[in-house]
Formats: sequence, structure tokens, C-alpha cells
Amino acid sequence: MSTGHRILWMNGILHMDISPSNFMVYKNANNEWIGVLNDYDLSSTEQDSPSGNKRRGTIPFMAIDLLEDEAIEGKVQPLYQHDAESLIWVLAWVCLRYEDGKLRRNRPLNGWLKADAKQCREKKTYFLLVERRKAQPSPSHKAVWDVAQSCLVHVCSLYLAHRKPTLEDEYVYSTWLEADVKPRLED
Amino acid sequence: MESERLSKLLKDQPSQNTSKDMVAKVYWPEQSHESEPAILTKVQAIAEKNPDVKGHIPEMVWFHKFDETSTASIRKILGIGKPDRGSHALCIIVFRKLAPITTLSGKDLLKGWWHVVVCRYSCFLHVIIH
Repeated sequence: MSTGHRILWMNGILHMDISPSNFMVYKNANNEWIGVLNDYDLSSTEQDSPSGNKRRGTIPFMAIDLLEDEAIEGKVQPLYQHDAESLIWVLAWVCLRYEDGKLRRNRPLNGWLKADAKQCREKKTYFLLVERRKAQPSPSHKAVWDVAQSCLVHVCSLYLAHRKPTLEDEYVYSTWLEADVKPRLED
Repeated sequence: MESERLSKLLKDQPSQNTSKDMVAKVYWPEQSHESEPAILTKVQAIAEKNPDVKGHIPEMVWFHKFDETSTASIRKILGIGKPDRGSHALCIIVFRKLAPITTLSGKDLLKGWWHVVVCRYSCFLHVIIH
């Protein structure tokens, strides 16, 4: 992404605040639920961290790479792969935390909400490598958790690579998301 | 609370969303940041040309900024230095009502989430190309 594109991104069309509270739906005339990404309010997405750095996004859903110190200091270029990772975290979060439209009583992953960037980076890395396999989705979300799991495996593979790869946007969209999700929409 | 004027504005705005309800946000955004209506206008322009974006962005019904509440004017009157720095003003923004995606499960949830994924990727490509 060139500097110009980066600025446009910052300008809010692609606001970085990917969190479940911004994922909304409405019902259309055909009685279908339609998804909407809400909240283009820039003033609420640029939160000052104690160190005085501008952080974009809500920590529990940010890509692990963007929770590193250099990224928090603004030294890491935001890429589509980070965006895709956030979208996947949101899906996983909903599957594990909600049951039949309500927050589950044991509130899994609650610690992520209270963690700072460093703690959250550790918690999410551990989840990705270890806890993910044992995670119990709610009965109502079993099928969607299967989809989220296969998307998470792609995210995981990114962090296992010998060198930190920068992936083509189109590759990320088609292999991390489209390939695993699209067939499940048609079942 | 009901407002005839807002209900009329809502009625005159074509939408795929069948909800007749609205929600208002009262907030104090920083004035140096691009305003939410300005960003939404840009996103709306992309939506007009792109079916993956159209119908997947929030629909603003009304916006008002109370200029007289600007903290810059208050600071100026009080003689506090650098009045324009980080100034805020009271704003009201009204949207057609949406429901949280967390109320859904199964295929409805997956579809709603997928709409957002596709919409964002389209916006992303738009930003890259233009």
C-alpha cells in the first residue's frame, strides 16, 4: 500500500475498529438477515494508549502482529491480512461467547477484554496454538465454529512461517476466507 | 420518544432495512477529525457503484453539530491558551436501527458476518485502485 492509500485507510473508509459490537444486522423484505459494519466515528477509534501512541482498533480483535510494540508505536504498515485476521477473531469470539443470541454464563475468553496489548498478544497466541483445539463452542454455534476454526488455521500458519510473510491481499481473501466460508453458505 | 420530522426523513429515505425504528448517538467528537457524516458520504459514494457495499453500511437519517458548544469558543472566552487544540463539540447523529449480530446463530450469523467481510474487501480494493 502506498502512503496515499494508507492515508485513505486512516481517513476512515476502512476504519480499523473491527469488533463484534460494530457488527450489526437488519432484516430485509425477504425476511433475510443482512450484515452491516457500523460506526464510522473516527474520534472513537483512535484511542490514546498510556504511552501516548495512537492505537487503532479494539485490542482483543486486533491481529497478533499489530499488538507488537513496534506496531503500537505505528511502525508496522496495516495490511489486508491484519484486517482479515480481525474479522476471523470476531467470528470465533461470537461462537465461543454466545449461545442462542445471549452471552454465555461462563463468559469464555473474558480475560482478553481486560488485557493490555502485550497480555492480549500472549493470550491470543496461546489460544491459537493450544487452546483453540479444545475450545467448546455453544451448541447453537457448533457449525459456525467449524468455519471459524478452519479460518483460524490459516491465521496460525502465518505465524508459523520462518520469516514474517507479507501475503497478497487477493490470496488472503480467497484462501483464508472465501474458500472455507463460501461452500458453507450454500449447504 | 417520537419525532414527526425524523419519521418523515426516515420514510423518504429508500432502504432495504424493514425497521421503522431509529437510534440516536449524542457525542463529543474531536473537531480536527473528519466527521462521521463526511466519512459516511464517501462510503455511500462507493456503495452507489458497488453492489457488495450497497445495503451493508449504516444509514444516517439526521446529523446536527451544536457549534455553540465548541470547547474552542469556551476556552477562548475563558482566556485559556491554545483554544483550538483538541477542541470538541456536541453532535447528534440519528441512524436507522440495526440489531447486534450476536443475537444470531447458525447460518444467519455466518451470512451476516460474510456480508461484512465482502463489503470490507470491496472497500479495500476500492481504496487500493483509486
